[in-house]
Amino acid sequence: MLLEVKGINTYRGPAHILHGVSISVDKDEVVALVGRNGAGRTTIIESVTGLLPVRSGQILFRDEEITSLPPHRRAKRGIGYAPENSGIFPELTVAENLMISRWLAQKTERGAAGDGNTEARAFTVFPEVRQLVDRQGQNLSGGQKKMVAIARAMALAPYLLILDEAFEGLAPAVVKRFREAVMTIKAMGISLLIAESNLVSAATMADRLYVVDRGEIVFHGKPQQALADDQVMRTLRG
Amino acid sequence: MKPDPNTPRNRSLLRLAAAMAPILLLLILLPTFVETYQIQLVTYGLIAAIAALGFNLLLGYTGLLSFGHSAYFGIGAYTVAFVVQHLGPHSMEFYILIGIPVVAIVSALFGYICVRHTRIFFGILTLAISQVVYSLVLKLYWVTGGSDGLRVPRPALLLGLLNFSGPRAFQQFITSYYYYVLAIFVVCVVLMWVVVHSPFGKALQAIRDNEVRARFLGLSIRRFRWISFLVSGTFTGLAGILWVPLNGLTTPDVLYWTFSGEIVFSALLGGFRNFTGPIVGGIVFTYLKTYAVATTEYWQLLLGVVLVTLVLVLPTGIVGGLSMLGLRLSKGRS
Repeated sequence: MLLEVKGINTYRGPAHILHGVSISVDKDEVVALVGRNGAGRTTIIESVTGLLPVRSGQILFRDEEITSLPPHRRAKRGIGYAPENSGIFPELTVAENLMISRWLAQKTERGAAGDGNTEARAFTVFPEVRQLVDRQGQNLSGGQKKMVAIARAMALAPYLLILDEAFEGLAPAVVKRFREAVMTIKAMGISLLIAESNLVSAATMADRLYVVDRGEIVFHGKPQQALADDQVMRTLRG
Repeated sequence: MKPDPNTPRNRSLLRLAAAMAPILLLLILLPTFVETYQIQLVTYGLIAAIAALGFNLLLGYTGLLSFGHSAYFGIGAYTVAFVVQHLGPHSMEFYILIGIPVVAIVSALFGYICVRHTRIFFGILTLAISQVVYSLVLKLYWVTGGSDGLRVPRPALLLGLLNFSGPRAFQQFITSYYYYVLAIFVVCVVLMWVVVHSPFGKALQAIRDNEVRARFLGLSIRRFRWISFLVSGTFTGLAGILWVPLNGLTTPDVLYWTFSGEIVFSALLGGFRNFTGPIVGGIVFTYLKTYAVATTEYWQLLLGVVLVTLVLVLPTGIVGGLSMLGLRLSKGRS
């Protein structure tokens, strides 16, 4: 198993957000976390990336415990992250945003092993990014920012790429383009963990999915099973 | 493989070289058409520019405002004074050879403590540490000379090739030392340019812009800030090393917090969000202070008015303001 999250409890300040959440992602797999806003998807992702500390439970990545590792160490082990707000550095150009990842990739496990081929991979997923290299992050559209965020995470040569709401706010044609990108990334041997609020959209990409509600996993299975489950549909409708 | 002149990094390097060439030529020719006093002032200005350049790696590129950079400047100056008193030979290269590692070690140590905090806590901590150094230098008078300070005679330059004695020794020293400082200034500018345009420099800017984003990209925030502090302190310390033979004396004044304020002022005056701003700021501040002191006994009031005007009218400093003006003019033409 590539990623195993075992019974984690996470708090935001005094608020207990995640209650014994367990998920897993295997090699060459696309897994979706589906839930309404505030269900706890982003908290799960921030727990996995190390941006939020977990109070109890265990996180294993490539069979090694990473529960107490800081975010930069997790990134070096091969966890790439494209957050909901893209996370592009506004005053740096796209080339400079990518330059940092390319440089850091030499220090990641996969990059150091020569398995990265980092920036070329990023451009294979989104060739459009080549045209944007001289632009500052603050001068990109929402879709372009998301593309650059994914390309930047890819340039880190990750084993697992985490996308938080990568398709939110995009035009339908662009969403289609992003779905294709997800499939291309998977074909490169990179697993994906995708947080998505739309079950139908998630079902088109995911091999497996988890439905999150009020900080708990309420469903785990194949996308088609989720679509056929009335309880799941009711949970997601609210 | 030939370097591609169209990459942003190489374009930026070409722009820097094109901007520097005429200024450098002017600076090389300067001693032929100005008097010794003006050469001395420009030398002070170049030294202040090195200090501000180092300081700005921390403020402009890492987003940390230090109120204690006088400590590194002063430690550089006092190291030279101690070398003069207890070691030999009286050679500038020897002073630099001893001074830089001392300043780097002190910066590394103080930086390790300070970068554990950010914002106002970082600023206060740097200020407090510099004041501890100031108090020690002031109180340990049997070592440091207390408020009288320590004298530093004119050193030999270029491993003893240039010695200064005789009736025109002062003028000869000032002119030779000017070229000496100019050469080191050019090396410092190129070195700093390489640092801020390297992936390391971009990582510092990423940390400045958003620490959380930088963290999940794999950047160890504290380590990068510490290295930035170390480089910044060392550059400022080098300025102190170069300053003291020109001044001939070092006193605890260069360790006092108001001197840290002058370094901050220089960076603000030139503009801390661009590479050349602190260089311009360092030189302009030197002239501003010198002529303000010569003009009125209320020179601090005059500098205060300049600072307030600057913040209100030119928040991006002289260079930032000129760039904006140039941009508007070029837009107007097109």
